Amino acid sequence: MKKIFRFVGIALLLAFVLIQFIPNDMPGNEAVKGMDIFEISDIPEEVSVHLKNACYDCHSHAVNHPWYASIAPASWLVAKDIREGRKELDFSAWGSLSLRDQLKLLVDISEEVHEETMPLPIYTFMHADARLNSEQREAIIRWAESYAEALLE
Amino acid sequence: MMLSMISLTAFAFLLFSAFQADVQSEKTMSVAEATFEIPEDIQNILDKSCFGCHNVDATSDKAKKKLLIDQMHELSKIKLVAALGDIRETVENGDMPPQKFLDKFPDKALTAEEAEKLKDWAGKAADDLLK
Ligand code: HEC
Ligand code: HEC
Repeated sequence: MKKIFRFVGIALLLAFVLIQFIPNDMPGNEAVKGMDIFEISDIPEEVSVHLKNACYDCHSHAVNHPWYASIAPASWLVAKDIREGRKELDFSAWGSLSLRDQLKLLVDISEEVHEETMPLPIYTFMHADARLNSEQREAIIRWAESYAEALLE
Repeated sequence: MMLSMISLTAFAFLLFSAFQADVQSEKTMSVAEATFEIPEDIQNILDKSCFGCHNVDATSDKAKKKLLIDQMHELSKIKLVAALGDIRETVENGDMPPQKFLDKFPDKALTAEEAEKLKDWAGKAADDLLK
């Protein structure tokens, strides 16, 4: 019995070591300059902190990789989240979007933040500074709404 | 023993990472404004493939929360632009109608031509609102 346990243990450990050698296509941080939402608009401090802490690791080309981002299989997840997150919303490419896409995203942002589907729960589990309380969520929603109104003018 | 502990931890880590469920969003809409009319040819496409799930009397709360085609004229300009953007995006990605539904009712699928028309309309209608 003990033998089996040890055998399974070694096999799992070996698998864990081996998957470290599978190439992982981690998206890079190359951004087009001057297009980041922070360079284009004035975002109130109470909002900008949270966008940076709670969204930028998936929705920008200014990603800070956490320690686990270099360990498979977590690294695969991080890469996937960045790839899919950027596809939906890339704050670093904000200036290259049409007005209509910006408006749509601002509505999406307030909805995702209101419904608490963003930031992804798996991310806030690992990042305490990305957990938003209801006041902080409100601030983001108010900002998104007033920014959208301002864009319409 | 130590070895087993380490590998069990690694295994748990692996499972935890592998079983990350897809998180889905829900949307709410509000506020009246503007005159918005859907042209007849577009309405016909929507009626065939979309309306059944996305109207106030539909049975799926999930679908209703995301889009009410018969209430679009009630939306604020911003929400309307966003709704048109959502339509465009889902049609472009081939996400709507849902595959499960199409398995049962294959004739409700959008033809390539209908999809193209719907996308063009959604884009243009949004641009018109912003003129
Ligand atoms: C750990 C990565 C991660 C973080 C952090 C994160 N997102 Fe996302 N986000 C994603 C991924 C992946 C998608 C695309 C898949 C999906 O919709 O779940 C997405 C999708 C979105 C969408 C598009 C949703 C739709 O269906 O239209 C919006 C808007 C969004 N995120 C906003 C935010 C905001 C605002 C924050 C910060 C408060 C944030 N996200 C934080 C990964 C992340
Ligand atoms: C069988 C019912 C059904 C039909 C038919 C249907 N939908 Fe949907 N639709 C849904 C459901 C359910 C959701 C919510 C999915 C979710 O929450 O992930 C949805 C969500 C959506 C969304 C929101 C997507 C998002 O994540 O922002 C849009 C836009 C949409 N549908 C457009 C359409 C269009 C356009 C058609 C016709 C081409 C259509 N739907 C046909 C059931 C349907």
